[in-house]
Amino acid sequence: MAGLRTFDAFPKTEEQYKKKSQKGGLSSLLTYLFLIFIAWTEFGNYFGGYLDQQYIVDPDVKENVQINLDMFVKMPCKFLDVRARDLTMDNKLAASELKFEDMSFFIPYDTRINDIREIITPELDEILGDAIPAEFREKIDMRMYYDENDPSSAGHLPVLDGCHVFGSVSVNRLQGELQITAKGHGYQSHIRTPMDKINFAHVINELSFGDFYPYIDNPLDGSAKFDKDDPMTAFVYHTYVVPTIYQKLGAEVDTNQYSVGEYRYHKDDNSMASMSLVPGVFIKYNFESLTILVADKRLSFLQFIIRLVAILSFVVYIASWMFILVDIGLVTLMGPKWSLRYQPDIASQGILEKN
Amino acid sequence: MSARRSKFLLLDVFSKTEEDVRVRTNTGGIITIGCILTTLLLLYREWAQLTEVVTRPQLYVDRDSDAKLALNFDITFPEVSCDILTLDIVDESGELQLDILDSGFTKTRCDQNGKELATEDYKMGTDFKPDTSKLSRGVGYCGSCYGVLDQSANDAVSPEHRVCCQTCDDVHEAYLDAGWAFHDGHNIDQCEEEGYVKHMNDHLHEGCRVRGSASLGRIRGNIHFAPGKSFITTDVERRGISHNHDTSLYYGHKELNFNHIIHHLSFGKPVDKSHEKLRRKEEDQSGISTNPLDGDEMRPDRNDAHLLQYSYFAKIVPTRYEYLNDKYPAVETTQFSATFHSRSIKGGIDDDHPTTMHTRGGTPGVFIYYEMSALKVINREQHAQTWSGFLLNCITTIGGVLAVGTVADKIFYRAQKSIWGKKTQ
Repeated sequence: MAGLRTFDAFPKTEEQYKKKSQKGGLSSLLTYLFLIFIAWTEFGNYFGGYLDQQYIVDPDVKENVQINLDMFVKMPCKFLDVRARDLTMDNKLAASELKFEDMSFFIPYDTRINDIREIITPELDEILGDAIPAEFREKIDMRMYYDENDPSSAGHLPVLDGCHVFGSVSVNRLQGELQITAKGHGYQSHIRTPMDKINFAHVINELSFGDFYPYIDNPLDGSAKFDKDDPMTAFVYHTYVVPTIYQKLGAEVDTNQYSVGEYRYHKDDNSMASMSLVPGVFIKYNFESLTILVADKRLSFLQFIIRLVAILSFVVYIASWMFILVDIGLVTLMGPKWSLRYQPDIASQGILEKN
Repeated sequence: MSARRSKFLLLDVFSKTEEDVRVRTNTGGIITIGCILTTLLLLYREWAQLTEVVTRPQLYVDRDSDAKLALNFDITFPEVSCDILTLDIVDESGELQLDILDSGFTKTRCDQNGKELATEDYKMGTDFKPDTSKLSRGVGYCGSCYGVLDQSANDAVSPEHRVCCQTCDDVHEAYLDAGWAFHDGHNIDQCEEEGYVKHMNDHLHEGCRVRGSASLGRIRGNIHFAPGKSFITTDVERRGISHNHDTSLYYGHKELNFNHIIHHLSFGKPVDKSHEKLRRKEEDQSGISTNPLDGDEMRPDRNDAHLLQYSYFAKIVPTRYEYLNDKYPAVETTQFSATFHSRSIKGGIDDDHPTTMHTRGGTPGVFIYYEMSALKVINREQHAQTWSGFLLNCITTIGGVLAVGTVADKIFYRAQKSIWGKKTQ
């Protein structure tokens, strides 16, 4: 047992050989405060981590992608038709996957109307905080509020001049277009929407691709478009979707970002006639082949602790060094009386005073 | 001299305690040994990090637009014979590579279980070569074209100007030009005599494995495997050139279908295997480039398999790998992401997609649409750490461990002293 002693690299000095000074105590206090500050920032750095971006090509063959849509259109639901068309020439009857609810059209508070929104690039933490998966609620059957066969019984209801279209629709993961049109205009239908009913003033509450995370902010969320003078306007949105994976502390959110360009056609425009366009809302989409992987990386915890302690002890070391240097400076400039370290005891004071 | 020395002594911040006032303890020894071990472990980890190589991707805009893009593939069709199968490459410029004989394709006949029977160089349509020498055809023989070509004027003109279909091939060509269905050539004397009909029917239920590479333009296009010879019709009314296949023989046999196994499909130069080994194992099992279709097997259990059209949409991202090791030159390759789609050419709604109206028409087969991405990824290998960083980390590690040790030792020393008094030091 005694042999272990020789390995002791931390020799201790008995208390009686140590001296403590009041001034030293003050500088120690300052040092401790500084240490706490350093430790605080280091912890902050550790938890904040650093962002690492990778660009990967998806190794899986994909078939479909989900579009999450929630919008108000100023047209009764019975006249609305939603389809998705893409490179495969498939005609996706999206209307059968979406839910339609009659409503009285309104533009919610805090919606940007005919306006380009300010550009926000959400931070990783925001995305992760907002990534709460959800599903659209079931449709409310409005018929329970009135008798279908007796129009007068609907008198207590507000004027249902709008339609709430919401739900998730799965489309081919290819360049394509989601078309919201009036029945009988564009596609054949047994109903032909009367011209005076066509009005594609609309509010987009949510438009996103991939898993549905309602709280993640997308460029088109909370925007309204209408044209007072020409209800027959066709609104076209061009979106370019970039798959993005966010990773932090083991949590992973696989979602899609998109960029938007938008324009509109008017009935009187030559372009609308020549390109055989019909009024409606058209959301064109295309997908980027590269996936952005945004990962938050950090040191391992052990390494971090070692680093932290090393920095802290270094600070202590520097502090004591400074203390000694200041002390030496004071002693050489002002005389030994000013020494911070060695406060003269009474006996030596006598000697100093004699000199 | 001594005064000078004392001045320097004053500056000594590493002031030492005299040996006789120091106390050494057993716990101190244990902590020291523990510290040394921890330090060694951490230094080893630092060393491992120094030798570690990381890949840092950067995005660039692709500038080598002139270069041709190589296509490499190896696909087995277990239920279409090599005689029927054709391969065409069509790109957006309208460039049709219908005749890709010299591009170095091989096709291998195989039975339905994928067992290989014989390999030949790729030739359009059938590989049947008739032995014409045995045929007894008199001088002045003028074969019937079975109404495709107008032969009514033959009697009036000299023999050189007669319209004749001398061989089975001639009849086939004439049929294709007119857009007539040729089937397997039965009831056409030339074909029966040459043995073409027998040949086609004998091999009808074989499979086919196609391997090879071709070079493509760097624009949007498609590669497709379809049944029957392809031909072009110019449709004056629709002001378009359409590309068609003589699918008559395929449609005549409902048991044929385009089930397929993609053993390999990649764009860009094939990558040397030694480069693959260079890559670190744990993260990149896929190797140097992502080829998502490799190993893809499409054998759906559907009644209408005969009429299915399979489409793959590939978006190609040019990629360059740059290695740290100078021995290995940078590799220019590509990766692609793929989307799959299948539909019956009858169109309408199928069980897989209950809310989708598929379009009608088209040709059964396997279509691979490709498109280039404007962005290029350059993956650069880098050391995770520099030498100076490594040294600094080592020093920090040692210092940190020693500092922790000092604190621990002090705590133990104080604790021992207050518990057992001064006797046990």
